[in-house]
Amino acid sequence: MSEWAKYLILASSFSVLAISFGIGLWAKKKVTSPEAFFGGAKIFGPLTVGLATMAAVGSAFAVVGVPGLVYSTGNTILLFMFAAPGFVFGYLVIGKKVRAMAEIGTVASLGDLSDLRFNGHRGIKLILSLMLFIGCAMYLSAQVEACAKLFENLFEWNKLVISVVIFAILIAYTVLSGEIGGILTQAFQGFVIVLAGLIFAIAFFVVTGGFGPVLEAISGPQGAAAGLDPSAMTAWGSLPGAYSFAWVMLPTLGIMCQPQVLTRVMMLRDPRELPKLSIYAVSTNMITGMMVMAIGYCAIYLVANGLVEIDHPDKAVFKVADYLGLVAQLFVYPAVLAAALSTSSLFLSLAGNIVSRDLPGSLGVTFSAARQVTVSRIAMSVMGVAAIGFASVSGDMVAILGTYGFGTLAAATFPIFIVGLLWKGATGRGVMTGMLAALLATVGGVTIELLNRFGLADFAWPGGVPWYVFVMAAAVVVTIAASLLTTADTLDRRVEMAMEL
Amino acid sequence: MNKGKTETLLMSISGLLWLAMVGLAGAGHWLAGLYALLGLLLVYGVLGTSHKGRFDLRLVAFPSLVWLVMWAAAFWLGNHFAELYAGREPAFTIFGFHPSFAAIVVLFWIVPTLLMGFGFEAVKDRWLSQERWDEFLRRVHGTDEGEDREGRE
Repeated sequence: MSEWAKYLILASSFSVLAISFGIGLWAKKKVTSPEAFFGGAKIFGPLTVGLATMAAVGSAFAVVGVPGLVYSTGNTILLFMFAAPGFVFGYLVIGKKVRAMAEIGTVASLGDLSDLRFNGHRGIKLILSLMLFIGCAMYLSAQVEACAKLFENLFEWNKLVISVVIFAILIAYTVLSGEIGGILTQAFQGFVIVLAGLIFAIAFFVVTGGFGPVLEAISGPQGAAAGLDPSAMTAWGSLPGAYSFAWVMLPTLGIMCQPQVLTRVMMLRDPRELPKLSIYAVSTNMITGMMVMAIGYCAIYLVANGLVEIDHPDKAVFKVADYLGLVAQLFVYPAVLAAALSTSSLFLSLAGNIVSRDLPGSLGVTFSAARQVTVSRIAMSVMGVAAIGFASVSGDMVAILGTYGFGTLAAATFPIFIVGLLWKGATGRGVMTGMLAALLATVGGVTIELLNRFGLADFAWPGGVPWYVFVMAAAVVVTIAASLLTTADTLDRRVEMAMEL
Repeated sequence: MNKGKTETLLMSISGLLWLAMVGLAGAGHWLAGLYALLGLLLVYGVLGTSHKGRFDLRLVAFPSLVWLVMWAAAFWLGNHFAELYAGREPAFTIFGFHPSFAAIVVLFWIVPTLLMGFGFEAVKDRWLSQERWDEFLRRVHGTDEGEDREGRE
């Protein structure tokens, strides 16, 4: 690739950052209160929320990690991407209840929502904050890893320097306008991803001639010579079946309670627009799904035919874009950055919310509005450092890091927001016990994974099922059992009405 | 059985289904675990329709149950063709896909996604009518002791 082409791609990527920054500046005037800054404004329509949700859920995990895994292990990870009906199911089951809760009091964070449902239970809020913080670090580390791969591919810049620069710019525009700017920039970034998706889907057919030639290429002698496994093209891919199970279960159940979904529902103007939001979210999600499948399949086709060499799965998206030429590169690199930024800004806001509002609240401390914003900014910086640190020590692929974060966040939120809002019998003590189980299991799971990674242990999870599945199950089962064994709480009448809507 | 007890029963069943699902997958029966997941989703689907002491089973039947049936078919067909052509080239393809993955593309992804997206819009009024939402807002923003008592009655 010529030097001028590299700088043109860099300029197109940074234009996403510049426009996002501009949107953040413009959105600043809409921040009329601390609640609005932290996400308590119910002012957005279904298209904005739908695009923002897709972008925040999609993330660099989807755009970089998934094509890499498709290239290296086949269709297994596509089960995760294709579980879009779970989006709609989540809105159908829990959407109106969450949105209704936002009418009862000032709800700007998940901690506020938890307070309403469980009568300000501090223990639940404390553990929720800690779990969300851990999940945020994991999810953010996937974005760090993706950005590093992007710039490594272009310039071979130092990973640490790249991560620090990107996070500095990101924090700057996130602290400027909070969640209001966050949702608008995410909607813009969602649009960039969709545009790149459409271009890539068309490019796939032009380059390969369709799905048949990809199957032929991987099944033929050239595929075997390139070390590719034809079983990758079956329904379950070439990974053990336990991954198929985990990667269907995780998005289907987990999407209902992901912070990216819950916080956006609370910002929707009218809950009766949730079905429209669903259509926008799943149709854009389908385009993203098509894009990542096309990139992964394109990588298989190009490698099997000896046209491209890929030394690390996370580089598949960039190698394919480089093969397709400048037009594809000018869209794909910005799309990767947009995907990483959209999720990162959401999780940075979430981290800021946790440290400046939820965590102090759970300990009986309340900051003034101005102090909350300052503390939030410091928290975002700390979270950025934590994410960069986790990315460098874990050494995992982007997609694997993404699933860790997804699983941890689901374990943190499922007992409170799914069990809690669907069942009046979920007690404060029951949920607290379930959350404690989730926290301990998460710490245990991550520790075991890190020990395995550094060769200090050789623990295999039963059936080869990823650890976060057990964490989620422990959190839910303990919550239900402990709730059955404890006396029901008295609910605020308005909370009951929201739950019965 | 009153509604509170039914909800508790359903939530207890969901707990057992979680155990069954993860237990089966942990024991190596991951496909059976996927079918248990469908049962679990059905339970949540029923709980999600709860309104003033009643479950709206028509809302469960469409679109959620139709979606779950499609996923069951996708799992079965996907696994059937994956086993049938294990270690060899498939005898035929569908849209160029391996037949087992074609089942996933059609019955797991495209058709159920469109069905759920547009199906939700089709049942919007049944899910949350304008009257019900307005009534909720009126009662929440104007709730006082008198209205509370009225609500309980």
